[in-house]
Amino acid sequence: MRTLGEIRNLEGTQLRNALMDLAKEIPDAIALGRGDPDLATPEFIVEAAKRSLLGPLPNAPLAGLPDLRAAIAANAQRDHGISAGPENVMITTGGQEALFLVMNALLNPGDEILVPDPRYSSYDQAIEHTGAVSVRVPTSATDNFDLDPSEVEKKITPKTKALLLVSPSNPTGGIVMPSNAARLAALAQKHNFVIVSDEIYGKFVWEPHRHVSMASLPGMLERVIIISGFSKAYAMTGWRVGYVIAAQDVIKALVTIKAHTTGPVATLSQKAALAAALSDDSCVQTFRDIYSERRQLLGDGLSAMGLKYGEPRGGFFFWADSSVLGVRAMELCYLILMHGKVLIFPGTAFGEAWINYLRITTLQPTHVLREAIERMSPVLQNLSNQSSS
Amino acid sequence: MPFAIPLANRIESLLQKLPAESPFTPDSLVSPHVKTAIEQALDRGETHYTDRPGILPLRERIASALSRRFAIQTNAKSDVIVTCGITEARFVATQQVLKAGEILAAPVSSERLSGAAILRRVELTPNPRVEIRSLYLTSSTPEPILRLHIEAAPPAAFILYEVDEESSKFHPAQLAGCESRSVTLGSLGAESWRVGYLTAPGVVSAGLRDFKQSLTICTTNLSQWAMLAALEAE
Repeated sequence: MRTLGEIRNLEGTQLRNALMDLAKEIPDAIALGRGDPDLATPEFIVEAAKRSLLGPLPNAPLAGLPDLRAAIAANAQRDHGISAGPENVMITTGGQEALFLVMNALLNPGDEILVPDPRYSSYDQAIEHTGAVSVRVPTSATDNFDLDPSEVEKKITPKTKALLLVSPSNPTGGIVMPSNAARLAALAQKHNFVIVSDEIYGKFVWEPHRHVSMASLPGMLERVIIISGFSKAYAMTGWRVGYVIAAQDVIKALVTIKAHTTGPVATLSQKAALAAALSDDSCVQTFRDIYSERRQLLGDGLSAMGLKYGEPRGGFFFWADSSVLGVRAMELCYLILMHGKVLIFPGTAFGEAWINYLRITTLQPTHVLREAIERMSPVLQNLSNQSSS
Repeated sequence: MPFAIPLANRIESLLQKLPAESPFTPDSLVSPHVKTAIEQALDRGETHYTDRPGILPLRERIASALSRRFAIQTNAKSDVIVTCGITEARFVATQQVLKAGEILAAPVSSERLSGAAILRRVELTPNPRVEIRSLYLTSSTPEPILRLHIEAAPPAAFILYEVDEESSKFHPAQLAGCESRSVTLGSLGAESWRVGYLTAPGVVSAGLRDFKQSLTICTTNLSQWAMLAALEAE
């Protein structure tokens, strides 16, 4: 088993992987780390997949099954009023590949892309791969990690090609509020850059807030690329189906790149995703009710342990400030894993500066979350006592 | 409506290299044992991410198949990565083994790597005699020719060896000094499942695994169970 000293200096994805590997060696560990919904894929989707096995499963077109592309376009119109047709949609091997393809379609070496800090660090490699440069835009707890357009504007240079917007945010749970969305759109038009809008958690924005899809704003369809997928909304992570909605020439470029990265998405997965896309989303509402209850439970538990956090307005995560405990989050996560047998991620897995933050997921049943809180509490209490003595 | 800004310069080059879509194959029916395996996997709830390198039973099958055929040692836990088809295997291998500006030699079937080379910003050459970083070879090439290419290449060059036929028993890793720098690429089953593999010694494999994760996280869960069933039936 790796020691704290061996993983202390890791960051980003490597740190998350190291902690997940450690947790695998601890029997009975509770995972509140990875963003993989514990809920099962809804039965009607599973049944659709089983029915598909009765007929032929030919290789799918590179851009995806036409019916699935049409259904996604129709949903974009239904849910957000976006005027998209199937020609504006491409199916990808999860949202992760979508981001990789988009970065390669947009960025030349030396270009700059604005990325909120903290960030989902798995995106770094896609950006680095193009030879472009990430420029970090700070977000803060004072406004619940909304992306402040004034901070964005400070970072714009003649090399700025795009803004990567993740709303709801992983890891912070912040969302872009409507007024800021409009200001960001205005900035993109004024300075002629693109908004890459990762909306993978878009169906999980919590009341009274609502999700704003950037392409729905006036005049933005030609400068927004939407990345989303079925993994989070329909508990389908293992099926690996994501998608991009964008202008037709962007889709054509993405298809061209995808021919050389992974080829078409598995046909059975696309058939299952089609069932999800054609549904009335009542299963999503059921999921929302479940996650809302968990969010309340975990939030209360973290508060009782003395951790501060901004209101998570969307997504599955709490982004909690642990500075009160007087120990860095990396050490804290290690102690919680070793002594409490609960896996959570330190902030440095999402940005070098976040040494006093923790990302904790709600992706466990309520009884498991209660157990996790009971296990974490004495570890934190012990540290708190040491800190105050 | 056209997009608001010009796309990356590489797109124009890639358009010249776009492979033809696979032909529609109406006879691609699912065999009964694969169908049963998928139904059972669904009933077990195999709808989540798998381990990044893939499900262990499939990796073990791949490792044992390679060991049987080529008499080379492959550690299923550390050396094997299940990919989204041969396309991802090629792409991950080239992106991870090469740095921008380096040279990749592909004396045969270079069209398979032409797009990946553009995306990695590496030079693709048919000549293994120059200062290359990596050499791409295929098992469908006669063994004497493969040996000539390997002898001509610099001694530190990584060998990307694609297993693209069923009978050859030659593998570069059998040669002295080549084992630690050989990466094996292959595909499994029908195209529609999108399953392939990469194998490499642990140190190399770790980097391949990281890059694969950054690209697609893991390969489709059910496709992996389908290919395991297919291999078990052989």
